[in-house]
Amino acid sequence: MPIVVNGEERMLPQGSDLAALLELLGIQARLIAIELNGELHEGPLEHALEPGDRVEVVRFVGGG
Amino acid sequence: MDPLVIAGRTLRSRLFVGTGKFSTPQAMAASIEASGAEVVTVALRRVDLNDPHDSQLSHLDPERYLILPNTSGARDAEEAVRIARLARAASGWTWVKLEVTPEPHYLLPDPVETLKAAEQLVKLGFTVLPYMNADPILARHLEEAGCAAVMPLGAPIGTSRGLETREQVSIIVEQANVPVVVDAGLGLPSHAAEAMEIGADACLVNTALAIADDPSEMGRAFALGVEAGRRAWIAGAGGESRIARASSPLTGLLDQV
Repeated sequence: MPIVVNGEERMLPQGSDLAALLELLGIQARLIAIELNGELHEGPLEHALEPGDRVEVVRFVGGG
Repeated sequence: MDPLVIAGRTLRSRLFVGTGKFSTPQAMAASIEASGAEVVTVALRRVDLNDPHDSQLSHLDPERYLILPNTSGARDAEEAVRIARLARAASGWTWVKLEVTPEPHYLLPDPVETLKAAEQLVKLGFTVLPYMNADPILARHLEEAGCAAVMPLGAPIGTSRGLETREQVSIIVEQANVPVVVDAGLGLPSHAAEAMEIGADACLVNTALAIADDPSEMGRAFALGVEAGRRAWIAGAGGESRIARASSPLTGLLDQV
């Protein structure tokens, strides 16, 4: 199923959750935050994704 | 140096540093170490899917520093609140450097949206330190909104032009009941010393350290500048005079030959 992550479309197996998405992308689930369809996701990463979901994954970078 | 207290947190260093624009993570870590800073700012951005490994800030120990996420990139209050909430969700850290800069050329802070965001973030339980223009009335509004400090600019971000806002900052210092942290535009230790000499409680520096040939040595230099200025403020300067005031006695002089 297609998922849009940080503006890029990725194909995931049907029924994948956020944890599987992070693993596929090679992102460690440490000091990151996730928005799912424009809403801050504060629940567990074992949250099943739906086709067409829009996901934002953010982390800290250097800044002033 | 006397400690600084912000929102109940005691800080021994009055120099805050940013983590942007350093040539390497190692140079950043060494510069921060040399600066003696305890408060360290970071930004929040999308994970780069082509480079998903977290390397930029891996040299920064969150146990050791008070990490202050900023809301850089926010163009209005709504975006700033969104970024602050993401930062808190990512880390559990509740302090935020509120930054709303809608105009990319000078990156000047939007006073209306900054105040609006500050009110919302305080209600959401954040400890808010707003980046602001050096406007004493705005400082009062932000203080009344519940901000833990105010952060007037010395000059636009990254310009290294020094304390162009000296008179305004001086008024803010005179009137504020929360700490005043001069943020942005300080390019030399003497700029930081000047801000501290007129009573600022702390300074925040990033670019000046990041683009120095030797970021560690510049970190040390800024630490000394901040300390010198702070000590001078505490000591109480004697004031200026237009005419000379002799330092040596004017009596007991030898007869002229």
